Amino acid sequence: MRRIPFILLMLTCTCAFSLQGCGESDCSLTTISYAHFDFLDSKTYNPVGFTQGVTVTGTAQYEDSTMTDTLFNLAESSMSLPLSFTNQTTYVMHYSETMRDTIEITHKNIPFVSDIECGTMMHYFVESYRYTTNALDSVVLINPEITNEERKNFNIYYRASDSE
Amino acid sequence: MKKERILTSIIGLLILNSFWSISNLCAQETINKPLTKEEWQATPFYQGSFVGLDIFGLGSKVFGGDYTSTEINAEVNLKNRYFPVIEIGYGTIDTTNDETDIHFKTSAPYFRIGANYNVFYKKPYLPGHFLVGLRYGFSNFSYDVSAPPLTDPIWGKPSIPFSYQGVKSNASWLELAIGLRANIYKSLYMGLSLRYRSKISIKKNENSDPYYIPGYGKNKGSNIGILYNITYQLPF
Repeated sequence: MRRIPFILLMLTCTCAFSLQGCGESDCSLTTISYAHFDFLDSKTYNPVGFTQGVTVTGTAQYEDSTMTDTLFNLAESSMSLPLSFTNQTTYVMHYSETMRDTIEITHKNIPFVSDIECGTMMHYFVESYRYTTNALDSVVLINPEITNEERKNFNIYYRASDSE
Repeated sequence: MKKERILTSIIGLLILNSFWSISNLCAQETINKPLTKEEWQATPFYQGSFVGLDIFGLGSKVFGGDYTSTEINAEVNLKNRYFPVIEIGYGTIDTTNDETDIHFKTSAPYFRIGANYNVFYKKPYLPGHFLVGLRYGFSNFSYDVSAPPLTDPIWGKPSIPFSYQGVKSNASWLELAIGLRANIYKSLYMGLSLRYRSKISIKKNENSDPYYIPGYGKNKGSNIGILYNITYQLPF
């Protein structure tokens, strides 16, 4: 019986700490959703890197205007690209002055809020996609849901001897 | 700031009241002796019923919180040891976040069912109960959520409106309860109950997760809640 005040005191402390914790933010670091692409060898499925880098421009068509922006310019074996708020985003991958590929993604836009303290963001669902095969071999959709969580969405396969 | 000070004072008074009640319980113990197992087994199975009202949820918004809840409960005393209980409430929130300007609104009933266990069931001379318990809670609700239009952060346009009305959802959760109930006057009791709530399920929607779940609180994996009940022991 003598332990009850101690127990209640512990409870009060627990409560106080918990209420203090309420002020901490659980928001994600980014509210932008990126489509994640891995570059892979079509035969060995190993990651492929571009020694001279690849530049990617993104184009979106809205009403009468065409908007283009450079989205990526690195020599890595993967890339993350934003999508537009229109329902179609076109990426052009510039490997050199003359060699390029185009990936066109048609997507459903899903405005989303997870917590009113964290703000709104756009999620996407890939409905269809098409691509050219000048340097790349094929593009495979792994996960059609594109959110602000980092997860692989596409694999881009290359015939390694052509791209390195 | 003034509201926060008043709220802190109220909580302090409630806790002091609980400590005062505890002191009374401790003082009683020195005079009486607990029942033996045989004496306890000979006590009646049904030992009364209680109805109660939570005043902590009612006062929350007045003192600066962004939600209110109104809750009543009914409880049965079985051998002064087991207390099956049902709790029925109505939770309301209508709030806009200052930083994001996102508005969230819901109001809906919730239900909890479970039981309390009186730790000192062999000490019927105590003017109250020290209770630990478990609850299963659930709520069906719909909510409105709206925000300023979303503007494409890369290309600058277009802007997409964000307003969803009557979004349906439901949630269920478990609660661990620990608390004290002390007799303050004749058949009237007061009690503090701390709740650790853990979410079991929630129906998510394509465009939003509910910010608040009636009866559970903010939509997190777990929550801590406080109930402060005024309870009446029925005369039968």
